[in-house]
Amino acid sequence: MQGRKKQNMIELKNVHFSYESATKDTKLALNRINLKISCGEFVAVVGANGSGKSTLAKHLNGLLIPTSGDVLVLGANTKCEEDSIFIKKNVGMVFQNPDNQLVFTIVEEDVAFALENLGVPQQEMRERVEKTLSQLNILEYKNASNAELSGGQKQLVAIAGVLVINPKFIVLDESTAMLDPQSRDDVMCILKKLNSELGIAVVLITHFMEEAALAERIIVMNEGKVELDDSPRQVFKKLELLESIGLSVPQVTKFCHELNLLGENLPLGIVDENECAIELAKILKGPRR
Amino acid sequence: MIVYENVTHIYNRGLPNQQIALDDVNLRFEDGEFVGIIGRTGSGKSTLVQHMNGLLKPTTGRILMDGKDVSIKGLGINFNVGIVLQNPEDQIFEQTVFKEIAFGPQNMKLDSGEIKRRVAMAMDFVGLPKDILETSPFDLSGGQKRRIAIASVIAMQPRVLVLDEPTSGLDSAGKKNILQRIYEHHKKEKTTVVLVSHNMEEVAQYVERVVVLEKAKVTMEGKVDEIFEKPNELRKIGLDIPRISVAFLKLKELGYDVKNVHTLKQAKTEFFRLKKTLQER
Ligand SMILES: Nc1ncnc2c1ncn2[C@@H]1O[C@H](COP(=O)(O)OP(=O)(O)OP(=O)(O)O)[C@@H](O)[C@H]1O
Ligand SMILES: Nc1ncnc2c1ncn2[C@@H]1O[C@H](COP(=O)(O)OP(=O)(O)O)[C@@H](O)[C@H]1O
Ligand SMILES: [Mg+2]
Ligand SMILES: [Mg+2]
Repeated sequence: MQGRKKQNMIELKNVHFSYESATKDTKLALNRINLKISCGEFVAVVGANGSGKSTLAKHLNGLLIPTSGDVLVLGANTKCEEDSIFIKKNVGMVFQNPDNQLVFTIVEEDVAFALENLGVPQQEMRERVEKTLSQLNILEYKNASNAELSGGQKQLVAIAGVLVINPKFIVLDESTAMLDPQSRDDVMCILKKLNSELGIAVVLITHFMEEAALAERIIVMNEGKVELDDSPRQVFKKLELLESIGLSVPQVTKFCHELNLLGENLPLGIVDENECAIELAKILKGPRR
Repeated sequence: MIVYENVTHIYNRGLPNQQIALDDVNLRFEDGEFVGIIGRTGSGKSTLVQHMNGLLKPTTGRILMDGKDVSIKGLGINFNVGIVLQNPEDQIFEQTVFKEIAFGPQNMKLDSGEIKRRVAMAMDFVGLPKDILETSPFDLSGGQKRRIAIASVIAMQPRVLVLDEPTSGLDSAGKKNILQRIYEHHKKEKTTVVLVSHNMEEVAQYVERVVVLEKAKVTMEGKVDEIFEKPNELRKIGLDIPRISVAFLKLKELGYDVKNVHTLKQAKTEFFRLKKTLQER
């Protein structure tokens, strides 16, 4: 860690990765990835099954180490053993199934767990847990048992367990996949708030295009490579490309696209229901002769 | 036909963490129906469907399949009802993809040629490449594991196919293709399909009848179009309507006389109908 330049980003330089497996010819799960994710960003990662999203995510906090190339977290190389605590403190991970992530039965204990591991004193620990729970609007469940919570609430507890260590980055691997629409909205709202108010960078892996549309930037993975890296509007303009690599676009984007194919004249890359309605209204009001 | 009669299920009965997951549920699933089950996480959906082949037994009440009580027939060895569990990890235990998918057909005592045929058919059904047959299912990505879990049930060709959030974790193409295959299979073979889903767009597109669960009780039941006519009720219990329906409701708020739509197809028809009426004025 000594002598490294202070940087405010996670940088992937020429990262290759293959899961060594004796039975398979070494297929690359990540193939020459070059990426920068800065502090304060809100990035979505999308891609077909097996395209390398989870493998990428696990590189961001050193759970996996590149076969070749480097990952620098705020300047620290994930290859350096002695930086691993620094990296884990700064990059928190939340997975799909909250049940696999919650270890204790009581909410408070669960959130405190990470701090205990870092040797934070009791008093400070209690204060930080309370603060985190109230930031996520779940302070009332402090003494609840995890079993009493809904899936969405459990996922918020899992996020609290990561947030409490004050990371600069939170990486969520399909963390909303098992949630009902309301819980999904709740989690997204909280992530937006953490991002805008606390400046925490969010990296959100998702198969919901509607959710990806809420990010500032979308990284599209395809067969271990970055296929696109752009704003939602630009990415979702490329419907044909996305469909050819197993992806799609939000439902209203698809609708506008289909109307265009039928001769209507709607702007490309509409991702929001409101905007869609307004554009439809423009057409109905009067054809652009 | 499967009938739920006054089914109540209580987890950890009598303990401090007792949980009533189903509370006096009465339901009927006709042969050849395509039914959707929606509800918040924790509302009891998974508990409900696991009663269908005796994986779970009711605390009180009973489940009848063609008039016979399913819980008497023995533990889960009911090839008529195939359940894809919500969490693929709960279902996967073999060392290779082939063994995993062949497990069901083997238990059905099919001959080896038929087993191979079934495995190939099921792999194709869920869009998995043949070159992973000898791979360990544990070395696959999340979505690939999900496909294995679906394939292993499809390989048994059950009369009743129960899918608990089958598309969560699947990529867009996987969602669309697998549901389309299931739909075609249902039409052709008259298979009963029960689909638990949080994805309102897919419910609107494939399901005929919807059952809404709320805190262990069935609180709404009806044709899919009837259910999605009630956005406020749905939102109150944490659910929603498809995105295209939201856009059309907004269009209505802007003063246009549009009907409610729930699928892209309905939306297109309605848009052009409206456009034509307005032009004729
Ligand atoms: N533990 C493992 N051992 C061997 N190969 C693996 C392992 N985990 C993943 N792979 C392979 O690496 C590739 C990338 O997998 P990864 O899990 O990163 O995909 P993903 O984009 O997250 O997919 P999904 O959308 O299904 O979650 C795939 O070919 C997958 O089969
Ligand atoms: N194995 C179990 N042991 C104890 N409680 C359970 C178990 N499975 C589910 N529950 C509880 O039963 C209720 C219904 O859960 P579930 O059927 O999984 O709902 P859903 O599938 O709608 O999310 C929840 O309160 C849940 O916590
Ligand atoms: Mg993954
Ligand atoms: Mg469930």
